[in-house]
Amino acid sequence: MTAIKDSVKTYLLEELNLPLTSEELGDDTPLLSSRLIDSISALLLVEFLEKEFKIEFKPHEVNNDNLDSLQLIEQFVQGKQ
Amino acid sequence: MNELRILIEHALTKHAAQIALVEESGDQLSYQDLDVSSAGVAHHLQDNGVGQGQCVAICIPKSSVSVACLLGALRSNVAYIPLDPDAPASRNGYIVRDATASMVLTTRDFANVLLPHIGSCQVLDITVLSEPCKLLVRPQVEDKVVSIPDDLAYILYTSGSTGQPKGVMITHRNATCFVRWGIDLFQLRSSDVLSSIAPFHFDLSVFDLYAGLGSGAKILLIRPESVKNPMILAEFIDQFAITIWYATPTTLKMMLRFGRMNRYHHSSLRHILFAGEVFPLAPLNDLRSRWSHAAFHNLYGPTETNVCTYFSLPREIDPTQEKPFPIGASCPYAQCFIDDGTSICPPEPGMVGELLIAGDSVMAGYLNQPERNAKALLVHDHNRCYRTGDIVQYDQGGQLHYISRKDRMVKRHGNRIELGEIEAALHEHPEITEAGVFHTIAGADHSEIRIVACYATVDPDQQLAVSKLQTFLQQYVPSYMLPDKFVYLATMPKTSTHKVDYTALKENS
Repeated sequence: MTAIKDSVKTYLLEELNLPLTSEELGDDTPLLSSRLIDSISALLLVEFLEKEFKIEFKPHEVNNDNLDSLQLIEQFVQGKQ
Repeated sequence: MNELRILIEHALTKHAAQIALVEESGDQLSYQDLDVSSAGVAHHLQDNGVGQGQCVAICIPKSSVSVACLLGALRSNVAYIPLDPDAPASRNGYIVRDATASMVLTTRDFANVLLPHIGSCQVLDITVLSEPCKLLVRPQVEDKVVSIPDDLAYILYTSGSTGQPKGVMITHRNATCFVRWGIDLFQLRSSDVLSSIAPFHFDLSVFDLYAGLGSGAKILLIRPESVKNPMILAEFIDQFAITIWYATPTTLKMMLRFGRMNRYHHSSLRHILFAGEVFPLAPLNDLRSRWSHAAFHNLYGPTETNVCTYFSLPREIDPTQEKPFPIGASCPYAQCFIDDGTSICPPEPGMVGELLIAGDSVMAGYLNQPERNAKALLVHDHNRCYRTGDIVQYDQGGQLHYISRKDRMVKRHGNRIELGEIEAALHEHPEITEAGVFHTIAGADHSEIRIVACYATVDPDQQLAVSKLQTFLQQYVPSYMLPDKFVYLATMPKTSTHKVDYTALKENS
């Protein structure tokens, strides 16, 4: 697992308290579409990503296409860096 | 003029050249186009024998097309039922069957999902009509339509305590008195731009849509996905020069917290309306400081009466104020009474009790629910009253203050949730023998509602995975009803009458 995914995974499990074990939360586990994280948690996640990776989301970029799994989050962050 | 149908028809003609609807993409529809497209829907209903005394369900994502369908039904004097396209198909199917809807207007994707759940109800896939915004050009349909103010305009389904949603029947008179009042109070005009944030199955949408159209204004149709994104909402105000912004306190608080508000001027705003839940003072005052050029109004009223009281906030912020603002005084078409447990009478200073509402906005009743109607509706001193279930206090200045609920209904993000409906859904689970659901209050300003679901299972010690419980419940209840926490209990605490002991449940969980 890459540093980005690792860091996001830790945030999801420890800060947002996702009801999953580390083993259950895979690279492709759906996060928003499965409602594992709600809209408020998604916004907290965006704040975390912006701060942690020094990137900025445009308003329309806060969506399932960019946030629905660790894999997609990593792709989005890498694309912004 | 007591008919929504006529109010809208006049507006469609009077403001023909104006823009009526704007979608997020920037696509616009004029009043003339809306006239033509809604007439097309009306023709289709009439050609299929759907008319006065019947109802149609509309399951279409918020768009110019869905508005054309709502208006098409109104223009045919057919009551419409807006369905939540994102709700479970089984719930929408129940609503269609409960209302014995004559037809479901929907799109192909939703039709395929709904079909197994709606019995023999006809389905019109509106995508087969190639140009949905210019469906069938045959105006003048209304010549044939006769209606009276007490005909049903629409039916809104809200959460039901016994496990199924219940249909609130709203007549043209009920809706029109509120809409006309809103147009007058906020002095709406054709230069206004209104936000349409609430979905059409939620009663807050009635103001945006009909007060907006009734005054010749422009309405920005905001999709549910965008409502969850405060950054987009904050951007929309400047992008579309919105003048009237109507949202729940939850949405407004989210905009404050996550909306990057410092980047925008929001100078177009004239009136901020909020409703659906208590707005804690700290974030409200923060917003008032930011939008000091706009007037703020707290609107109150259950779906059953629409808005029936309101309070316009003073322009100046009082730093010594501690309590949230009142729900205010009655709208001119409504009368308030208080049941203090001993008698029902008009409010007097200091009085505390359940709020009863009389007047033109009180619903026709719950559809197919005589027992519920007998409990909720009563005649007092020749006034037909609705029992709100809200406990209020009347102050020395003639204002009503919300205190609490009398029953197990809670409001989260402005959505009504009967905890009994979640319990009924849990009881559908083959492994669950008993369920008890309660709510707690959290958050720094004590305004966050958390729903806790406790359950016992067939096999002792068989705890169920949270993700599986969530997935299971999504078949029965909308996402806003999903519990925040699940607690497994070996045995459910009971009262002496063998009912779930909620006090003990809260202590044990």
